[in-house]
Amino acid sequence: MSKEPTIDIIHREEDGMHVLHLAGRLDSVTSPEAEKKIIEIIEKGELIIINLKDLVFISSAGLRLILVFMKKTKKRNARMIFCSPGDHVLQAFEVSNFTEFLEIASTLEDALARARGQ
Amino acid sequence: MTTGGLGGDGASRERALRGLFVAGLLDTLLTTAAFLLANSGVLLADFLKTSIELIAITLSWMAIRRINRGGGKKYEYGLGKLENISSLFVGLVMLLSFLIITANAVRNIIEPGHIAGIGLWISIASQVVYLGINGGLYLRNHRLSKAAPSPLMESQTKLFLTRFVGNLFILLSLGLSMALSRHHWAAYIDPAASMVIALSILSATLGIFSSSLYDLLDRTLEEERQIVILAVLARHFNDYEELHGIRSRRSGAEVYVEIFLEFDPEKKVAEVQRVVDILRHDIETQLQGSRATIALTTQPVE
Repeated sequence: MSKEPTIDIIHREEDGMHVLHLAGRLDSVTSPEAEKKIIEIIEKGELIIINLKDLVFISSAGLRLILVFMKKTKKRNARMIFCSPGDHVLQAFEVSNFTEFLEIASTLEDALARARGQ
Repeated sequence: MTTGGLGGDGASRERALRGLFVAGLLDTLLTTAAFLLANSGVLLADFLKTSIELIAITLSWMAIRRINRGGGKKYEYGLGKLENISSLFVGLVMLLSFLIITANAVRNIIEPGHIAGIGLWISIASQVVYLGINGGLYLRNHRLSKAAPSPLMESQTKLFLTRFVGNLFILLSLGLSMALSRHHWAAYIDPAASMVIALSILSATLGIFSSSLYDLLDRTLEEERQIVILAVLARHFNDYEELHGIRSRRSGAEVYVEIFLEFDPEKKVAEVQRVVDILRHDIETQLQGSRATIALTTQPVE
């Protein structure tokens, strides 16, 4: 029997920053759950870091969701930094031109340093 | 206006289908004669297979003729669903043929007998000729299908590949059955070969069902096409305020895309119009056969 794809989202606050750790798959099955959780945070946060280290797969539905997040973040004059994308996720960002508007850090430490303006 | 595009492309598709119809009619007459003048399961399979192909070609030809003779004006969203339904009908006939060939093969295995009759020689002669013809028609259809993908053209390409492989098998099985007729086990070559043809028909049937049925149910576009839409939206990231939804579906060779965007209320209508035109142009250029609609909304769209 095939297992349903899942996404785990761990949220923590650090120095006024919201750090979200995404683990699993971001696709048409998991997107509605991720959308609900992350938009809640976007609506109250000024600085959001999304750690993609354990995101193993992203589909067009997941990319669409990231586009929605970025538009909402921009509308609120907030800032969203993505960090540690795996090869598959980075390749998906590249082929869909998302690297043109996403702020991507190679590691979480790098993302935190950027957020602190270091 | 899309009539210009329909004319050129539609005319070449109609010419191709007319050629296929003539070839299919000749083939059907020959296989019918061969089947009636011999006691071979392979020739029964060949008769059913060519009859299916003739039905498929006739349906496709009629649909394309209707579009080219002005039917397209009455059906502004194209005849994609008719193409899907025609493909499903052909699929059902193919499934029925598979069952008939299988039942006949089982009977010939239980009661084996050597094949004989003038029909065998009629078939061998026609297989040699049609091997060349079907190979050429398959390549031609494959090119057309690549240029204007649709379930209809896809089903045609699959059918002609099946025919080509079928010709080869029939030639081989009849030749072996006749050459080895002094051995009692050679009586099993004919039912075994007819089952190979039956399985190739079943395989093509499953392919037709999966693509036509899902398209008929308005399945969204494939991942690679969704990515093209997202890449266009990403390239114009700063030109709109929010993305509220994307919907897409296929209908025959046509692809329909609806994008729901919110714009800055301070923006002038002319500026919004410019962005809408650019997005639509970019999507329609990059997604072959697509028609894009950009809708303005402030609410999320499921």
